[in-house]
Amino acid sequence: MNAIPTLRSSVLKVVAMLSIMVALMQPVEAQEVLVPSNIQLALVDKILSFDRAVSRSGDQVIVIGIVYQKEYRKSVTEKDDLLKASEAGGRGRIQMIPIEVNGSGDNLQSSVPDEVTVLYVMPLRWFNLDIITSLSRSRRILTVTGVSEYVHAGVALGFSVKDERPQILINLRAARAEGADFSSKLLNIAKVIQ
Amino acid sequence: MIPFNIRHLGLRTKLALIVSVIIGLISIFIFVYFPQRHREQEMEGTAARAKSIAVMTAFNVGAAILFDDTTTIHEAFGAARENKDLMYIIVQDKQGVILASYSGDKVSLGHSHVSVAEDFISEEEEFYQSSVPVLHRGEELGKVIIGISLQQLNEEVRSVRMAIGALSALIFLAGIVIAYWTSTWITTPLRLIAHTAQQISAGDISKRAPEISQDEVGKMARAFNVMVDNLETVNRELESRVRERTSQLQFQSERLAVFSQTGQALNSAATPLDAARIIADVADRLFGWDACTIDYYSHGSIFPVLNIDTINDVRTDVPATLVNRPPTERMQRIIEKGAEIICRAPGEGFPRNVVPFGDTQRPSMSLMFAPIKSGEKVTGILSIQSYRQDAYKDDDLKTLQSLADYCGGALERIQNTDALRTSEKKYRDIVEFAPVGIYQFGKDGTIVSANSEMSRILGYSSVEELIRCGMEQLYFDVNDSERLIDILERNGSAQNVEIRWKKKDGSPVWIELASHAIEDEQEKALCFEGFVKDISPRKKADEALKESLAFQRAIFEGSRDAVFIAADNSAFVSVNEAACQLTGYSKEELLSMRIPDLHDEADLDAYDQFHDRIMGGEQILSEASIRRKDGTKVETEFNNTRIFIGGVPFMHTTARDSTERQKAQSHIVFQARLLDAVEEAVIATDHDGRIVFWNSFARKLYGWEEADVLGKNLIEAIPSPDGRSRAGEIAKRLLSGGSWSGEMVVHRRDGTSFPAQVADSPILEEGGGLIGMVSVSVDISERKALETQFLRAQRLESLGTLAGGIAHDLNNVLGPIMLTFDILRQDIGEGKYKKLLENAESSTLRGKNIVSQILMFARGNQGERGPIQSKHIIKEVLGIIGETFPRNIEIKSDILKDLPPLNADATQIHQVIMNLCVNARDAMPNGGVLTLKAQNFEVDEQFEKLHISAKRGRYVLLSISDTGTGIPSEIIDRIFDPFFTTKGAGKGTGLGLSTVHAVVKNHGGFVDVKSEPEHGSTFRVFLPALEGDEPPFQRKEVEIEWNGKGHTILVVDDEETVREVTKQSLETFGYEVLTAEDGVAAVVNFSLNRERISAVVTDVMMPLMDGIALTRALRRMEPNLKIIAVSGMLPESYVHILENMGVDAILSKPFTSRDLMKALGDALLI
Repeated sequence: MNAIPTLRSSVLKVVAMLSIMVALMQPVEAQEVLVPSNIQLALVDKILSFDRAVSRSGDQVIVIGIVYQKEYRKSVTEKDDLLKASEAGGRGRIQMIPIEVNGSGDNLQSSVPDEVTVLYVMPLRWFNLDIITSLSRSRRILTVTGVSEYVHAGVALGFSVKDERPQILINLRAARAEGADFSSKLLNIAKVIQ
Repeated sequence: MIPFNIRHLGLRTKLALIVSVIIGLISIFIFVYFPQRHREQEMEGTAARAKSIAVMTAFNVGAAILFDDTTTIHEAFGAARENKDLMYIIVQDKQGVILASYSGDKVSLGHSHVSVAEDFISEEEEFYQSSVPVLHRGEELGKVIIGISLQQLNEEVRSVRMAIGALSALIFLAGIVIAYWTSTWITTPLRLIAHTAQQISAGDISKRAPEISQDEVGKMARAFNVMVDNLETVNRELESRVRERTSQLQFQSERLAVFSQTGQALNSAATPLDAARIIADVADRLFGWDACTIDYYSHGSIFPVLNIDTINDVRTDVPATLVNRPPTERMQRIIEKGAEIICRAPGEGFPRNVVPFGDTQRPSMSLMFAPIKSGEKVTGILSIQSYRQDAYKDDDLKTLQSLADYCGGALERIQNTDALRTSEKKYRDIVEFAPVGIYQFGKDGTIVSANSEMSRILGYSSVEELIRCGMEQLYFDVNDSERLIDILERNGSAQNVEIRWKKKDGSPVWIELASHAIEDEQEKALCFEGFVKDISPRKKADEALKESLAFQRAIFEGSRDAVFIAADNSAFVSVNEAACQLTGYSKEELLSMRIPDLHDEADLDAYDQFHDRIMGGEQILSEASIRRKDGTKVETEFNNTRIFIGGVPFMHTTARDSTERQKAQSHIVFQARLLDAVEEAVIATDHDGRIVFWNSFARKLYGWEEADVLGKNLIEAIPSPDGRSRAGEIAKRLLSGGSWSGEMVVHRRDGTSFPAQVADSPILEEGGGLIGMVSVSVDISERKALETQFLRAQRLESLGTLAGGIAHDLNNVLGPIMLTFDILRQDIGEGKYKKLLENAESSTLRGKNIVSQILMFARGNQGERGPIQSKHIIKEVLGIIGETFPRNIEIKSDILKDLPPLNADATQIHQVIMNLCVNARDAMPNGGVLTLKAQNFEVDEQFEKLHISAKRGRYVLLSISDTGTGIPSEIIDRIFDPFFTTKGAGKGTGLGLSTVHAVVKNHGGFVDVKSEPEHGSTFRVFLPALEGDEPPFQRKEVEIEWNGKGHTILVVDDEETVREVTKQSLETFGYEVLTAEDGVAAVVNFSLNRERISAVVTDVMMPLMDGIALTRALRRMEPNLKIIAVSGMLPESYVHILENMGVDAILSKPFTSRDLMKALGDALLI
């Protein structure tokens, strides 16, 4: 007779903790990617031309690390779409590297190669985005995402749709923290999130 | 300042100078304007460029400022720096913080660069600054300031200015050359013309201007040459004329000299003959002559002045052949046509129409005649003749004419002077010896010249002494002089002006003055001259005559009587104002009329005789009517006499309007008749009380004729005990000027007396003294009788009110008693007490009748009225009295068939007639005749006045007469008083006649009685007739037995006895009865038993809630409830209210059971 109450209490505890965790961790729920991957990629290519940091670096090839969760179908799908778009676009100077991240994200630091200059964040579920942004800021890696909400959460560059047209979202503080030096011309046409 | 006089320059120089100046100005303009213009354009371009650079830079740095992208800002600078003139660029934010800047070498940016908002050029024009705001999506983020160097621009402008300056100088120089060449080219022909003109002016008239061009100058040269040619021609002609003229002038000059000398000589000529000799001498010097004549021509006649002929080579004065004769044919021709020269052929003798003079054997071969004129008028003929052939030429004739013209005025003047002198002497003598004063006075009024008579009139010893006088010494009033001068200046003359002047000794003298102004050419008065005549004696005589005439005129005009003076032919020659007022005509109109014009034709039959008698010396007084101008007639009395004026007989008539007098007479007659017409005795006495006037009514009233009483004392004529007793009082009042009035009994001539209202008034003279008395008296017997009737009526009304109150209380007492009889009758049946009951009921009924009669007397007890025919009632009464009255009383009747109906209560009228018949019977204890009459009667105004109760209209007169004992006069006034009776105790109630009076009065009629002791009485009852048809016959009521079973009646009365008795009475007839002691209880009872109660019998006069209030309340509760009102004595207003409220019946107490049952039965329809 006492076991069942005990089990119940345990479950309840778990749920409570998870709730707290959710509240504390600013969990990232899975979000929609509104702009097709090929367009995103084309825009990223264009945007990077406005980033003086990129031009100053003189790098011929831009290595973009795609951060995704293999457990999350949407994340995988978007990642695959982006890879396909990259291959189809024939952008020689952009190189895509998928980076699988676990649920806690503690493998991210080690999973991102040094040559990666851009981290492309796929839709993630129950993931603390700060892990990605803190890495990107420490390593001066530009973060890009197709999930517009992520820009508000700290990703430097994102895309959404406005009036049926893709809109560039730039988190200026995040971008500058990540070492980006976007021209005001770009900023002028993008939606700058301060 | 121009250092030289431009007018002195030549045309070429002027032209060259002007053109040069113009060109110079143009050059200067070019030098100044175009570089400046260039510089402005360059500056505009620079400013535009700076602006565009700034705008472009601002555009480029907008987003960069927003996003702090300094790299982009600097990139933008790079684009701007491509402009080599760019000195600096500054980008600052909104707060003025410089975000980025660029400045070239040698440029240090300071606050001044950023502090100025507008675009500007630096002080030394080193740079141009332009600033534009940096806008991003409409929001100003900052400012871009551009500085552009102006160095290059300035250099460019400088070089341009130099080039233009050189060009201007070149233009100027070229312009000078061109100007000079052009002016030379233009002015050369003009100069040549001018040179030619100079030569010509120098005298070389042969010179001509070269015609070297075909333009205007060439034309001018040609015209100039033509002009010079003409000038040369004219000059030649002019020279010849000048020469000719010079010779003429020379000749004329010589002649003028001669004429001048002649003029001087003529001025000194004293006589016409001297003047003629001078003229002849001049003519001799000018022409030479052998014979010379000078004749005057005046008024168609020739008067020779000078005739000189050369006889035997000696010039000799010869007698004229024509003296004061008409001119000869030749003379006439000369006079009409002018000067004439005659040159005879050799051997030609004297013409036939010429009268020779002097050497008549030797005719003149050359003759010249010239008319001598003064202005346009020929005043004489000058003639010179020569024995030589062709001695004179036409020019000589002209000269002669000139001489004649020159001398004409002088000759006339001399002649006039001579005549004037003669005339002057003549007039001087006239003036000096004239019997009137002649004088001249200046515009200031002072005398400048006068004759001896003038000085004599004014008492001065000489004219010189008179002339020295000033105006104040001549005029008593200096204004007279000014007025006179004013008249003269305005009118030019004054005639018959009479003025009073002062003599030397200061005494006045009247003078009559005639004067006129002496005017200059502008017709302004220079001075005045005139005649004066001493008219003092005449003035005195005039004054005296004037006074006399004025006096007579005043009398004539002031007369209130019309005065007419007519000539023998009856035409008016003088009338006064009163005559105009009398006739309505004006004086002018009357003076054009004759005596018959003022009268109608019918009045003129005897006029001729009348006229003859008066003109024969008879004085006649007459009366006739005058027809005024407006057609009306006025009665007039005349006094006609004959008078003489200047020995001529005239008819003198004074007339007076007699209308007023006749009116006054008529008025007096009218007033006398008026006094006779009044219906009052008017008696006038003198101071002693003796009768002096006795009008016709006094004669009628008192029975005395006027002749009987005139001169008698008033008290003797009209004896009156009252008058005697009051005589002192009346006299005292009259003597104090007051009046007295009052009533007194006076006696007629036949000894009878009557009451009279007398009013005595004093007749006072102007000073207030009593000179007589007028007494007005009137018979007031009828008025007294009316007063008695009125008092009687008032007394009856008071009694009626008292009796009414008593009757009302008695009704309440009798009511229950009468109701009880019905109850008792049923219980008693046919027993022994039935008779007692009947007696009691009979007595009670009698009591009720008495009360009814009292009520009838008091209020008329209005019963049911309707149209009734009195003759039916009379017949009914006749039937009754015929059966019941004693046989020794004969009953007669006289009833008019067509009596009008009455609106009356038949029962009451019946009662009235019965009462009167009963009284008549009682007045004839031994038998007699009782007469009933019924007739129509019309009350007129007169009757109305005599009977206080009578009103004008139709009445039915019912007369009941007897031949009984009559009514003594001392009690006749009381017979209508209630309870008044002459019968013994128990034989009469004394209510019969009072009832008659009350009933008749209530019906709007009245009663009067005439009675004579021992002869009987006649009572006349006047009842107002009802207009309309005879009323229908009224059906008799049928007795019905009532049964109230099934109905409940509510009885309301504040008296318990009445309630109980009424209750029992109703129960006897099968009603169920509920009672209430007042209106409030009745309402409560009704509300509790409303379904049962069929009707309510209620007293009207109750405390708390009376019958009217109860009826109103019950009607609200049950509109169809049957209500019967009961009361002893209801005012008419209450009756109306109850009727309006719809009560079913109103019963008067005391009522019988039958009355109550009938009322309930009618209401409940049972």
